[in-house]
Amino acid sequence: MTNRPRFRRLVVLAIALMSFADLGITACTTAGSGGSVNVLASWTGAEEGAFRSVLQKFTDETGITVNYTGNRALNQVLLADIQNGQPPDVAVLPSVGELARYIRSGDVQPVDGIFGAHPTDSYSAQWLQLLQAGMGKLYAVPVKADLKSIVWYNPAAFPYERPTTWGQLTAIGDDLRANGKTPWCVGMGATPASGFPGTDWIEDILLHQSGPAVYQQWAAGDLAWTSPEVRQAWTTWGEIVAQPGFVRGGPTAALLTEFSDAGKPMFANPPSCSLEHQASFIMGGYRNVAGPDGNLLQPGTGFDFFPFPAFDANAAGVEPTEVSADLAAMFQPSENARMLMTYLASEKGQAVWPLRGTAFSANKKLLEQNVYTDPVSLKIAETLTSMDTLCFDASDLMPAKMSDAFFRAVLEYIADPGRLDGLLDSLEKVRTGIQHDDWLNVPCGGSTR
Amino acid sequence: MTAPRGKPRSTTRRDLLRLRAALLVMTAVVFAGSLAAFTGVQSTVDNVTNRTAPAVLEVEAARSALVRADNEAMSSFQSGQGQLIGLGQQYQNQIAISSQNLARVAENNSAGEPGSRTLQLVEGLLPAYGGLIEEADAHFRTGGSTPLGATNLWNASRLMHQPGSGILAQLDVLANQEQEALSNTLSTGWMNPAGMPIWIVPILLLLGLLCLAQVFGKRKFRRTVNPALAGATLLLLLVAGVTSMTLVSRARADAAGQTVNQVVDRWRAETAGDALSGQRDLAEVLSAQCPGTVQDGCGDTVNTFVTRYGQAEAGSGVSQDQQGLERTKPVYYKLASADQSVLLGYLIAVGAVAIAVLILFGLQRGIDEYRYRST
Repeated sequence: MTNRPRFRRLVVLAIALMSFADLGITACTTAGSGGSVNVLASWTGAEEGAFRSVLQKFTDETGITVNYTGNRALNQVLLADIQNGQPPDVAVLPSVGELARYIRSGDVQPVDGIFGAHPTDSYSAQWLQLLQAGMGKLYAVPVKADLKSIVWYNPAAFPYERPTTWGQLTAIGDDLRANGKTPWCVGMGATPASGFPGTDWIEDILLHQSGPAVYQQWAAGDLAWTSPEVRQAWTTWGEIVAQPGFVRGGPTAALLTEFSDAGKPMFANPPSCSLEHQASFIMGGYRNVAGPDGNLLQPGTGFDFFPFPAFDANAAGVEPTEVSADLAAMFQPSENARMLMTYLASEKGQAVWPLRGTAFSANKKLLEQNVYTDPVSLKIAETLTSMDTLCFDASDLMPAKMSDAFFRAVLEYIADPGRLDGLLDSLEKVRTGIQHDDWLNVPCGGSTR
Repeated sequence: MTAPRGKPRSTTRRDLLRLRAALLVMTAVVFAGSLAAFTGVQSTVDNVTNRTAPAVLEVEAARSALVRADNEAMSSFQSGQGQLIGLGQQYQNQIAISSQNLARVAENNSAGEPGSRTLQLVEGLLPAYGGLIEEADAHFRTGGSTPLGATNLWNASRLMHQPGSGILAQLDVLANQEQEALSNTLSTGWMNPAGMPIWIVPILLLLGLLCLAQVFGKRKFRRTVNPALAGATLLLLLVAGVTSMTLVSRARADAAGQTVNQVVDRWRAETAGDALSGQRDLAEVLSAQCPGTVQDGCGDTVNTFVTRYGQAEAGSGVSQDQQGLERTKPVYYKLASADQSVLLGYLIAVGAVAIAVLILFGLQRGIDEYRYRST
């Protein structure tokens, strides 16, 4: 009986300790009540910093912690994670081709609903169609987008009307050449994807010359490389790269010049080339070039662009446009992952890249929010969000074996245009050697002719 | 043999029983703490010797072999030998060596998932590098130094040497990850000085208890010294001495870790010096292809490269196979000296058991003596 008070004291103490522990656990749980999301992307360095700032804002708003992993070997890492049964909740894929392959394998979950009740308020119908990757449902958010069908020039050294047709463009090239100037800046160097600027040329020519339907057929592996349409696209490009004096430094310089260096001579005094066909991301490089006055080039006065010209004079201004995008996709469905995808699709999530002046958004609401502070960026963003027909980069859609062969063929063609037939035969052999199931049929967004 | 009912027990006997229990419990704690510390440190030294340190050094070896392979390839194209003998046996050998090195890194990877991912990236880039070099070889064999051959060489070199994203830069990342893992291994668990009290405090407490037992015996039994307890004390000092060898092991393993870092720094600097030879050869190939002015040349990147490496002095040229073996010797010598004999572990166990037996023996006589006394 004498032990009873001590026992009571022990019970009271135990209850007090348990209550204290419970309070602690509750406090800890409340602090991290948002849970977490794992995100994988290829961005490292400055791009990682920019993306992390978006993720931090998301965490601040929702309390959900984001564990970000940036790895340049994104595809290898992602495949290994999927094989180990531990994919990230969200991964940012560098092309729609990668996205479509993961959709096909059942690893990516649809994200219908994250664009709100009226998706077309933020994204054009063309983009919403592209984001389905030909699978009938929405699967991705375009984290940043680029316009590819454009030609850059230096307004201070370009005494011509901006060409709207291919004929006008070649006439300008002929005139420049006749005046002892070199029309085109070309650089194929882009390790480990050297040759991609050339594939962009061929794609753009085929898209504008033969139309989106043929382009789509070719990108899906249903059109032979030896077909008249594809051959014509190569020979049309040959009118530029195979013409003596039309490319700065000739074929050797075109092969060895890095794509990031190619356009710089446009801004030298005197310029050693006048035009460059390159996607909108090259603006980031131009901004770092000093003009003749020693100041960094400004968009609009230092550099500008015009849309890739039409081959049919009647179609000028309503031509299809080639685009590319980094796409966020959900691999592990959860409320937190959906919340992150919703945030990435929103104006807040989309604004970070335009504000840094390095990339563009497909979200048209940003146009009203003045995030594009210069006329060139604004023009690119307007084109990205309003064009009637948008087509993804075909080489991104092709199986890796085909796109690798395409890159190599471009380099071989520049070195020796006389080998075109042999190269097309080789490319055709690669195409026919790839199983039909390995090809993707991702239609262009919007109307096709 | 129990005490008669109603008669109070001896407090001396009770104290002796308590003292014996305390001594035996503390002996068990000393045994557990000392053995855990000894085996913990030895297991860490073993891990560092067989896994963590080799992972770091194999990354540097792979890096060095790849630079030598790259040098061989560039030299073969620059000198024109490639047209006759292709890339040469040395190139193939160095590529094979680097593959073996990387396989061992994968086997010994101590950097966990981040290390595996970096390794995956390197292993993904290497075939692309090999493909470009082979393509360059095909072009050089058929037409000598052609623009396309030079382009392939340039692209291969960029893939290998590009700061931040090239194969060598990724190997630097991997080496740093493995070095970090080594540093963590050498500073956590039983290697952390904060863990020392776990085995030192029980030894000091047991030592104090043994002294207390001697004082107690002297007061109660008028004995100057209890020989059995004195023997237990000596054995405890022996166990303490053996366990303190972990401090020596720790210091030597730490020194080995620092030597690994020094070796890596030196090796990396020498590899960078050796890489200049290949870069100079490539600069000559490029300047032959792009002889124009900056305006007509092959762009800023190529021009800067040619200017920078065109006149570069190459590295020492000393046989790097020998250097590789020589430079890792101090690491493994220090790690071998940190590795204590397993017999010392047994000595701790035997010592602890002997201490317990001596404690039992030393106090038993007094306990028996007071079995029937009331004070």
